[in-house]
Amino acid sequence: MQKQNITGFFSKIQNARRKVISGQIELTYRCNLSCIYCFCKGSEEKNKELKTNEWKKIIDQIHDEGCLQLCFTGGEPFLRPDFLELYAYAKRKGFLITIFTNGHFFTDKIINYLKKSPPYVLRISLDSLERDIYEKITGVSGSFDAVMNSIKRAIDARLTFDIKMKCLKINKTQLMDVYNFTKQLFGSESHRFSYGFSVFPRFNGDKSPCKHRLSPKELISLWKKYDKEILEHEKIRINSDEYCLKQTTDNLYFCTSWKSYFFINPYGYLRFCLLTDDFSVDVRHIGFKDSFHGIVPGLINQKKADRKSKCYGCRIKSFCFSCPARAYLEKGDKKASVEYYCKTAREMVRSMA
Amino acid sequence: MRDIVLKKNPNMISRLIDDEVVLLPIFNSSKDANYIYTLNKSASVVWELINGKRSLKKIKEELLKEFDATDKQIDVQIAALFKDLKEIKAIK
Repeated sequence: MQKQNITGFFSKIQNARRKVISGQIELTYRCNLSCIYCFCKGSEEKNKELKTNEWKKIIDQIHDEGCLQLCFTGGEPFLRPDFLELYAYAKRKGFLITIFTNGHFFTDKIINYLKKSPPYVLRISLDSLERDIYEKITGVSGSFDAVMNSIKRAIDARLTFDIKMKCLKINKTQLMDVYNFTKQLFGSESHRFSYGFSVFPRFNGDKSPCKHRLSPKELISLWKKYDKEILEHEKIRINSDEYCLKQTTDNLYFCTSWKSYFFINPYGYLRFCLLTDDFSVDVRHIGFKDSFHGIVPGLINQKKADRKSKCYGCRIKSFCFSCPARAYLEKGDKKASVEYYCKTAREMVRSMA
Repeated sequence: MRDIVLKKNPNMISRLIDDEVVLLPIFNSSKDANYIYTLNKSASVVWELINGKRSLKKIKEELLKEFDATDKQIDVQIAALFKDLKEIKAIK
């Protein structure tokens, strides 16, 4: 028998053959907060959310396909009164569970349960340690004290978790503070902190989150300052012609995460990408196996890129964060180029010149 | 080796992932949440044979039929595996 680190095990089982390895189920789009960057806000429809038994049936089907890792997210997943029931159900099926939460609901009951039966990853969003900034982001007065009290309860109970921060214009100066706070909590386990900068328009078409994102210059300067590793990695990419060629496939959706990953929204629709409902399939009617293996790949492979588009064959495409799903959210056109991403890619190349 | 009957802990879930038997504890400590346990071919066979009814002697007999190994080699393998399985509370 061998005790294996889970990350290592995932790298071992990930190969070219298409198979379900991980997936994300969004239990609800509802949330007690109203974050300025949230892309689910405005899409909440409580009455349409799957019932406990419907989720259990889907979890059974996902299990039967050999999926190992399941992420429970939202909205705020702990808002579902059946959260622990679904969590325990999936644990008993042998899933490694990741939970994304805003950290506001660490009641004694939840803490005790998660301590006894811990998730593989418990990731809490904490976007600032300044009350004023935190509450400007969440839009809820009193939310800072609430989250800090909740986190304190989790720490006192020695519950292990990660902290994730979304870097925006409003909180960019907070990055090192939140990082140091995490370091104080977990010492040398620096992997317990992560940050992201991607901000998208909302699913309902509201583009207001975009005004809060970092400008390309701010983003690169932040990287240069704090994340040398990322820039070094990108440097390797620009020097590799081979890598650039790989980026220009004929498929419109050139990303390959759909080969092993899936997303199911609160209403039971399976999607191959978090950001688009293109080709989404009602799992309750079609079943998970046929949706994942049959319908989705067939449709993805049918949809071809536009060879005449600005993005196709772009020389700095490997530095670009745009994709058809993001372009659709920004411009309503999957083949459109998005100025923000073009500028960011150019800025990145310039910073390395 | 004493002849005993071993039972699997119902809180240790086993799954076949990519042709490998993986053991996943439902209840464990946070510090172990980043680990899983994998079984090699012979250990997987033993795991399958543990059913709360079959005795250790019977398991050994089955292994001798299945694998080209001596009595002593099987004893050593089984002892090592059972020690590991007990350590992670996979069997009682």
